[in-house]
Formats: sequence, structure tokens, C-alpha cells
Amino acid sequence: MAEVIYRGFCIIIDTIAKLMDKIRPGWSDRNSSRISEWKLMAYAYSRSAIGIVGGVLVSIFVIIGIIGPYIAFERYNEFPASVNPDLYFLRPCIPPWCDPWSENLPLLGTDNWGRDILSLVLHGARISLVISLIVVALGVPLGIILGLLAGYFGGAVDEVMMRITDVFIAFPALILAIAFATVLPSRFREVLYTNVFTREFFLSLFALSKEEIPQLASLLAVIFALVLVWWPGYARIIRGSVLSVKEQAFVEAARSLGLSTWRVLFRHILPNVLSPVIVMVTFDLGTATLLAAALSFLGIGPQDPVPELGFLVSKGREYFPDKWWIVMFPGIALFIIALGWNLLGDSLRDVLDPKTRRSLEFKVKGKKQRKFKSVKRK
Amino acid sequence: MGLGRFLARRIATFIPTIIGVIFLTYLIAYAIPANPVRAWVGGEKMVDPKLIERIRHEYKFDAPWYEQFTFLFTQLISGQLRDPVRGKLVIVSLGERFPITVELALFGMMFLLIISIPLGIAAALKKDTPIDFAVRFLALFGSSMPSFVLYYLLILAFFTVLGITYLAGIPEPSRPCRLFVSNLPNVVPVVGYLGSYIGKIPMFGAMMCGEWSVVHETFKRMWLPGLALGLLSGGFVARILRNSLLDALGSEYVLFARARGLSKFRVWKHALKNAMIPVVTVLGLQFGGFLAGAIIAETVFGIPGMGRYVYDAISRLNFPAIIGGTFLFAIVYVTVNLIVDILYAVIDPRVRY
Repeated sequence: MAEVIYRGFCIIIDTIAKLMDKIRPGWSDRNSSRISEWKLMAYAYSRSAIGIVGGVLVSIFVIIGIIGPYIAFERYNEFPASVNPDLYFLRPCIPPWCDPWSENLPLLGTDNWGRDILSLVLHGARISLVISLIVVALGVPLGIILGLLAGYFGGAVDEVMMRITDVFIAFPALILAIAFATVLPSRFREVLYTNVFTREFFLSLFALSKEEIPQLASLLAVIFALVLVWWPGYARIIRGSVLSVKEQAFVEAARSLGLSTWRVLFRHILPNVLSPVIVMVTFDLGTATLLAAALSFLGIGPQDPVPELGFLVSKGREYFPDKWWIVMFPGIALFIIALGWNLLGDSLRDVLDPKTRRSLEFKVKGKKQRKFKSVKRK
Repeated sequence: MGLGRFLARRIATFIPTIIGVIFLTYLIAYAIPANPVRAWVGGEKMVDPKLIERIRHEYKFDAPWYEQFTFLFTQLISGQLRDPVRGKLVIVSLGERFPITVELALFGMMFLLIISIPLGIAAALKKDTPIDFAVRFLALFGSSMPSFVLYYLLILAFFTVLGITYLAGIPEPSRPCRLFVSNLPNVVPVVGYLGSYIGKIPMFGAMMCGEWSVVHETFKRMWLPGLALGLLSGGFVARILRNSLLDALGSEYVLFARARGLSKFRVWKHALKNAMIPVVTVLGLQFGGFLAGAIIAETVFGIPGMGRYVYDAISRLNFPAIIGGTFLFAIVYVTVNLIVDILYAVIDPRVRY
């Protein structure tokens, strides 16, 4: 199994190398050490069991996030209990007690409106995926850029930026996100009602229908609030590593060659401070999912009928503990999503850390004399 | 840098942070909402325009921004912010509820210590054994589990199935006892003030008067929320203790102590002392996190604390209460962090930044 995964990664890496060779002839010769490093990473990853489990969980989640709303048996805004009076007395139910003659048996039970929980969870995966991706895609670059500027320029810029960061860190993340997410929807609603393109874009992103514009505004508010909460941590970490990197000789050399400040910052300093960030991003994709779910659990995010996983749990509260499935299945889905990201992050930390990777290389070389170079030199 | 200068610098950065916190609170209250007054009086519903005018005037929405800011600043600092739903001062309601949140956080802390310290030491002693693996799993579990789902699972197990706890109200000391505690400053001059503050936490108040049945009831009521909080971060703290203990055991002074022929126990004592330094910091930060994370725990377990107050305020769009609560949470969190930083500098003489 591990060998198959390793071979697969090798094929991907070789394909990338060949592609780069076509674009820029001689690329793979110049970067042969980088390619062998990538292969070593692939090897280290394929040998870590938790990494593979995490990778599988995350890929399942991403695939469900993409196709989930389309393979769900029912749309989230169809309420069987209001259409079919027979169902009315059965809701919420779980299979042995559900209508056994119904066409599509609700595998994971139904909620108080007779909606199939499995369908809701499939749709909820999409919402969670989009939220966590947008939060990280906006919050992390913002933090990185501010941290780079503060660390590189120092002095007054640094002082001001770090004081602003302190203010944001002074609030507990959940509380600050709550405060922002309660006040932001009214602004977003204005934007969504006036701007057709934005509205259609986000509606299709979350696979929601047109009636849900106010809920969409709350969803965007949650995302925006989380972005505001997210950047300070990254700004601090990047600033710290920039402070130590910028004193090194290669930065001095780049500057003395007369490169522009931006080039020094983004081509020479940034790649050297980025590797801890990749691991953090993986963990944070899980954390962002959980925090967004916590916000909607508290009733700040989208309301009915949007199937946000945290909101589904909070709705199931009224029926808990007799009708435990409304709380448990969306909750388990959230757990599996976060577990996948955390497992992946845990193994990436070892894979991306040059020290542990080197020790693995020596271990392997002592045993098998494995060669990590497979791109032939012309 | 000496300890004195470190303290001076740390406290000097504390003040701009508080001003920044108030400014951010101002942005949340006045600048960001599209139509704040409409939101304050209840969203999109039809409301009497006269009422809106009155609130606009009362909360200075018709004033320029600097006046609004100074208004909010003085209100927050002097605690005059009024909750329009209950008609009480926000600070009074929060003051009643804060001790209960502290009680919850203390129970969480107790379970966190019970779970993490023995597990961390065991994992370091038996590296790469099932115990070590279990600690790793617990850490992973705690960071992946949505807190509210874990709370419901625990309720399902211990309340519904086993029925060994209950989930309503908070046991409080009797009325004469509470009077006695609030009278303490008049009886004992200096210590009394401290005592009356600590005595506001229901369990400690009951302890002061010797009402042990209340203490017993409190344990019966609070052990489950405490266990839930402890489970969520226990693995994480145990991992940190394990790593720092392994670092300490691999260091030269341990080697030297062994070479001098100290007993195994004495060597361990040396290593543990040094390994505890980062753990104390993490525990302090966790305490701040418990106070802040209480909003979910209090909602699920039905504990009438500070987080529950903010939660109720959210569901009623009671903005002054949200703002007051947010501000108080930030102040508490910043203060806890400040204390942790100072403690860290005091117990570890190598750290002076």
C-alpha cells in the first residue's frame, strides 16, 4: 500500500518535472536536488500511517464537499413533513421507526421537518468546506503580508502593527468572532441585494437557492468574522521568523545586488519562513471548520433551512436526548472532518521538517540504498 | 533585562491594548452595523420611529464619531452601560454571573490537572508504548472533537443513561451565609475584601460558612462540565508535559545528576521541576481559554454564567449586553495572559524579554 502511494507521488512529481522541462528547457537539471527532496517527502509521507488515514479522510471530505449537494437525495429546502401528512407524525425518526415503505429510506434518520439527515450532512459538508477554505485563503495571506512587513521594516511600522495584533489577540477568538458575526450581516445583506454578480457567485458556491439571501449574508458574516480573528496569529509567527531570517547572509547578498525591497521580501525571505505555515494551515482548516460550526451552533450563522452542520446540531438540541441522531450525525461529520485535517497536519509536520526527514533518509539509505533521483540527466 | 524593567514594559503595553480593545468594541457597536439603532431595537421589524429617535439620542448615534467613542469609553470604564432588555446595568448582571463562570473554569482546571499531569508523566516514562500512543490519541481527539458534540455525548452517557448527575441550576449557599460573606470586609479589615470576593464563587462561599452539603451538591452538579472541559484540552497539555519532560531528561544536568549517583527519584524531581515551566504557562492560558470557551459549555450544560448571558444577548440582539460582555471577556482574558506572562518570568529566571 505504502509503496503504491509512493510510486503514485513519484509519477506525479516526474510529470511535473517533464512539464516544467517543456516550458523551461533544462529545468529539471537545475532543480534535480529539489526533485529528489520532493521524492523524499513523498517517501516519508507514504510511510506514515496517520498521514495516509488523514489524507484519505480529507480527500473524501473534499470530494463530498464538491459533489455533495448534487448527490443528496433531497434538496435541503424541501420539507416532506409539510407535504405528506403521514410523515408528520413520524418526524423526527430513525429507520426502524421510519415509514418502512417510503421510496428512499432515510438511512441516518430525519429531522423535525422530515428532511433526510444524510442529505443535509452531504450539503453541510459543502458549506463547511467553502467556509474553511475561504477563511484560510483570506486570513493566512493577510497575516503573512502584515507579518512580513512588520518584521522586515521594524521600527515604528513594527510597533504599530504589533500593537494592533495585540488588540486582536486580546479578545478570545470565539468571543471576537461572535461580536463581528452579529453586526456584519446587515452590511452584507445590502451588498447582496444590490450586487447581482456577488450574489450569484456565493449562492452557487454554497449551492443555496435564491430565497436564502439573508442566510447567505450571515454565512458571509461568519466567514468575514473568522478572517478577522485568523490573521493575527500568522502575523506574529511570520514576524518572528522574519526577524531571524533577515539577519542572514543571503538576504544581505540579495540586498547588495540591488534587488527591490519587494523582490527581497517575496522571493528570498518568504520561501524561508513558509514551511511552518503550511503545517499550521492544515491544522487551521480543521479549526476553522469547528469554529464556524460553533458560531452557527450559538445561533449566529445561517438560520433555517440552511443545513450548516453546527446549526443542525443546535436544532437537534430541542429533541435531545430522545432523538439523539439529529445531534450526533452532523456532529460526527464535523469530528471526522477535523480529525482528517489534524491527522494530515500531524504527519505533514514530520514530513516537512528537514530534520526528521533527514533522519528518515539515513535510516532508509542504510537499509536499502534507495535512490531518490530518478530524472535522468541528458 | 531585570525583572522590574520586564514588568514595567509588559504593563506599559497593557494600557494601549485596553484602549485598542475599546476602539475595536466601538467599531463593532457603532461603525460596522449598517443601521445600528434598527439592529439594537430588534432587526428588521416595524418599530415606532419615536422610540428609534430616543435610542439614537440616548446612545449618541446622532453625534460625531469622537463623541460616540468617548461616550462608549466612559460608559465601559465606569460601568454605566445599561442593558435595555432587563433595564439593569450590564456590569451588574455580568458581576453576578462571573463567579459562576470562574467556578466552572476551576472545575475544568481541576479535571485538566487530574487528566494531564499523570498522563504526561506516564507518557514520558514509557515512551513509544501504548500509554504514549493513548496520550497522542487523546490530544488528537480533543482538538478534533467539536466541543458541543462532546458535551452532548457526555450528557447522553452520564445524565440520560446512568443518571448520576443533574443539569439544572447552581447550588448556592444559604442567604445568611451570603450576607456573612458580603459583610466580611467590615469584620476583617484587609483580608476580608479578598475573602468577600472569593466568597462570591458559590462553592467557596459555602466552604467559608461550613455548609458542606452545598459543596457536595456543587461537586455533583459541576463535575460533568468540568470533566468535559478537562477532556478537551487534557491530551494537549499532557503532550506538552511529555515533550518538555523528555527534553529535560535528555539535558546535561540530568546526566550530571545521574553521574553523581543521585537516586532515580531525585533525578526525576530535578527534571520535573524544569519541565513544569512551559506547562504552567500553557495551564494559565488554558484557564483563560476556559473562561472564554464557557459560552458553549454554559449553553449546553445550562449553567447561568457569563457566557450564557452573552448567548442570551445574542439571541435577543441585545447589543449593549453583547458589547459589555465582549469587553469584559477581553479584559479578563488580557489580565489572565498578563498574569501568566509575569508568572513565567518569575519562575523561570532565564526568560526576560
